[in-house]
Amino acid sequence: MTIPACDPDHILCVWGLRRDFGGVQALRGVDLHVARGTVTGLIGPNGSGKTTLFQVISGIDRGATGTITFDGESILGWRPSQIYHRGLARTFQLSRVFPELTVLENLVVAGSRKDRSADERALGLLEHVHLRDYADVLGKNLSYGQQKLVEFLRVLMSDPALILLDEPAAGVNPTLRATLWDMVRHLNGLGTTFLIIEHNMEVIADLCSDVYVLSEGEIIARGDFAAIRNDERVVEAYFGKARRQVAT
Amino acid sequence: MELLEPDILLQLLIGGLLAGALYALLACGLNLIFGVMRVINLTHAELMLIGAFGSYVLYTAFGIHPLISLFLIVPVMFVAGYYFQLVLVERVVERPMLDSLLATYGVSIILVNIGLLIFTADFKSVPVLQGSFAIDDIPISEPRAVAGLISVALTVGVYLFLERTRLGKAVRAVSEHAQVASICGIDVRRIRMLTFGLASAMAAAAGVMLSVIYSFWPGSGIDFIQKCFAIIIIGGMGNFVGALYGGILLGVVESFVGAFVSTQWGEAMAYVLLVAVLLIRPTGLKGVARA
Amino acid sequence: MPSVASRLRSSSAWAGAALVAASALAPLVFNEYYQSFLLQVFIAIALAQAWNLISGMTGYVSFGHSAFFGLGAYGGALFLTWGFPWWLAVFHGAVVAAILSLPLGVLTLRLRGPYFAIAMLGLNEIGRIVATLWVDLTNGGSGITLSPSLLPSLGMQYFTSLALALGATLLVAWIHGNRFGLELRAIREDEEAAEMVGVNTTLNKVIAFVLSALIPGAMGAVYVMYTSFINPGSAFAHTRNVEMIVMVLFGGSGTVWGPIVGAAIIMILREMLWAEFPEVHLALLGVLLLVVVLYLPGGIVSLARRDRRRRPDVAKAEETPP
Repeated sequence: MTIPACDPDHILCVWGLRRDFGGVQALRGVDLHVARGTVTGLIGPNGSGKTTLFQVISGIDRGATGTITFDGESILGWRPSQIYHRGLARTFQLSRVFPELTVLENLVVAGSRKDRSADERALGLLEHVHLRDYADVLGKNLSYGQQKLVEFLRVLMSDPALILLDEPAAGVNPTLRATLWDMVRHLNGLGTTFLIIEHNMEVIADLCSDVYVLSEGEIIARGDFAAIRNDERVVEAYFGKARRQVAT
Repeated sequence: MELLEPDILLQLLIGGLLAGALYALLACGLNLIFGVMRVINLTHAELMLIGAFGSYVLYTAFGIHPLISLFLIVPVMFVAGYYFQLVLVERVVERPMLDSLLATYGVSIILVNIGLLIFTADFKSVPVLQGSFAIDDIPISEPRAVAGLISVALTVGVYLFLERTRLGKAVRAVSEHAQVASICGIDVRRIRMLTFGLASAMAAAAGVMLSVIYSFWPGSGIDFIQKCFAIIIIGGMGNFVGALYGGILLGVVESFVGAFVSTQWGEAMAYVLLVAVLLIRPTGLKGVARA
Repeated sequence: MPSVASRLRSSSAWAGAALVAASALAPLVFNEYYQSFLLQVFIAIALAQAWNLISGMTGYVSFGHSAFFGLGAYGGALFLTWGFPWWLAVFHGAVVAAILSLPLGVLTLRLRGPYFAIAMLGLNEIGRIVATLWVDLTNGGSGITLSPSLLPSLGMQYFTSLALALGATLLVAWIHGNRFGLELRAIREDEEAAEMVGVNTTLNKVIAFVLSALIPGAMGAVYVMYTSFINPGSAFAHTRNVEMIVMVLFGGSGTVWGPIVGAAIIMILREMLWAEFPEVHLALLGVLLLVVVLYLPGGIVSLARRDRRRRPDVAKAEETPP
């Protein structure tokens, strides 16, 4: 079986990704392409494999088979730190800010070692979201929303070409949420590509030009939001099969 | 080579099985604590030594036969373990595993040195059971046979307790999923205290058996705890039956290596196995030891 | 950086310089008894800082780091018996420990949290067993006795150990403030997340591990020169393990001054108790360990900071097996 080459317009190409957890098939041959400069959405019911997909693409989970091409290079089997330095960054669903490091340290450690002005960059990012005054606060002393924001800023330190966001707004208050999405829009305008897992359909509709729907380890639909929401298979995945099976 | 005579091999095998039974009793208790509360109890070998020294004291001071002191020491240690859990271990149960490791390490150091203060570093033993008997012309040491069989009986007894009784099932429920168990109405704290008490009793019983076979001093613990680690990592962390098999396996391996290579290498086998398993299969044969 | 911190840092730098100067001048004032005591304090400080590096800063808490001390002790002793000058023997001790720590580190650092601790404990025992069994090299249980003609004077030993203790402290201080130290601390906090933001966790851990083995290696050789005798029991002694752990945790894990404060206090306690009551000393260490774990996770140094909850090396996200 020949693997189709990845179109240069696509920053990320995933072909036939399979991930088995000893009997549980988390991913059953996922094909996914993210076009450069877009904000692409990834939705699907709980347990469909979205986070597993992120785990595999970002290199934490090394047990998958298939092809992953990022910016023209195959990255399957790479260490997460190598993938990060190549330009693909990722945030976590639950905040993983370093608790005993200051906010500034949290950001600087994610920047390049050779960057002489890492401090300024970090402070600049903090300034952008009005968190500059928190630079010396320990990660554990931030509110949850602030932590998620800092985690988001953290991955910006290396100027990634593609950012995978895993429910970035979950548990965050509306004000900070708005700040976050503004930043996404702003960065996207500057050329950063995003692949976002979200449950909030308004955000998806608002932000994403392309949406993938994952259900039980497979992509069952793709398109813009309007097309997706009316897709029969998508409705079925979220709400179960129609009346026929209700009463038994 | 005379060593390869079937009689000799059988003798080594039986000796190994009996020794392994003792290891199994000890390791299963340690594993039980780990399974139920994710605590690696570094005081476990010292709990065993308390049993051994208890047997020694009762024998030398009051002339009580170890098999009788077994009935005295085991219940006392059960209660002691129960309250030790309450007073100390409960405080570190919810915390990262390293905290309980350090805390039990501290207690083990305290216990060893109290033991040294009371008993000095001289080796002690309780040479009550002597001699050997023969089955089919194969000599079997009597103290080892008694100790081994009692150890097996106790281990199997605990196993049946866990499998067949309601309380035992509650213990297993907590070790599978403490949160769910508590929602089902199980008093998780009580179960933990019970578990520690039970494991302490098992360790003390192993200690009494130990006193009859080997000589020991307050510092004997380090070797035994290492053997326990080797056993439970091989058999799978938290896996009761795995520890049973692992203990017996270690006993047999030690026996054969001790005969064919040297006694020192026999003693070193636990470490060799530990290193081998950690290198080759850090997940252990049945459980998970690695991140 | 806020000016308060830089002021603090310079005052602690002054304090450090004063201590070093005092230590350098001590032999002029104090007799050999006190010099021997201080020599042992310097050894303790160096060991504590080494442990601090891998356990306090990187979060890989080792229960068997005295293994490297033992390796260095034998390395040094052998070099001396083979006729090499003493300073080369010290160097050799460090090199032996460092070279062996590389493969050992790669293997054990794959394990997390408590499993790493136990593996290191086993490693120490293995060291002891190998030293006992490899009679051709180590003279087994009888140990190696060094004739005084091979050894440097007490004064030389004193200054060597002072220099190594100072070197270890400066190394830890330097790492604490630089990028490498930041990455180590990130690994301690959340290794997976650190990897996700570009930290090469494997390389960093191994480097920290080798550095943390090198120092005890050198000190082991110094110790051998001081005692003129080594055997498996004293090379791979448990007490040293316990002392390393308690000194750092009690003093303040992950800090620069913590190991120094902890080592000093415990060595003084040891000096008072060991001669008559070695068991009491050790039991006391056990009690201190308990107290620190239960009530003072940040160690003594945290009392100065009035932040008792600060216990850096146990902040790992995930340790329990699934």
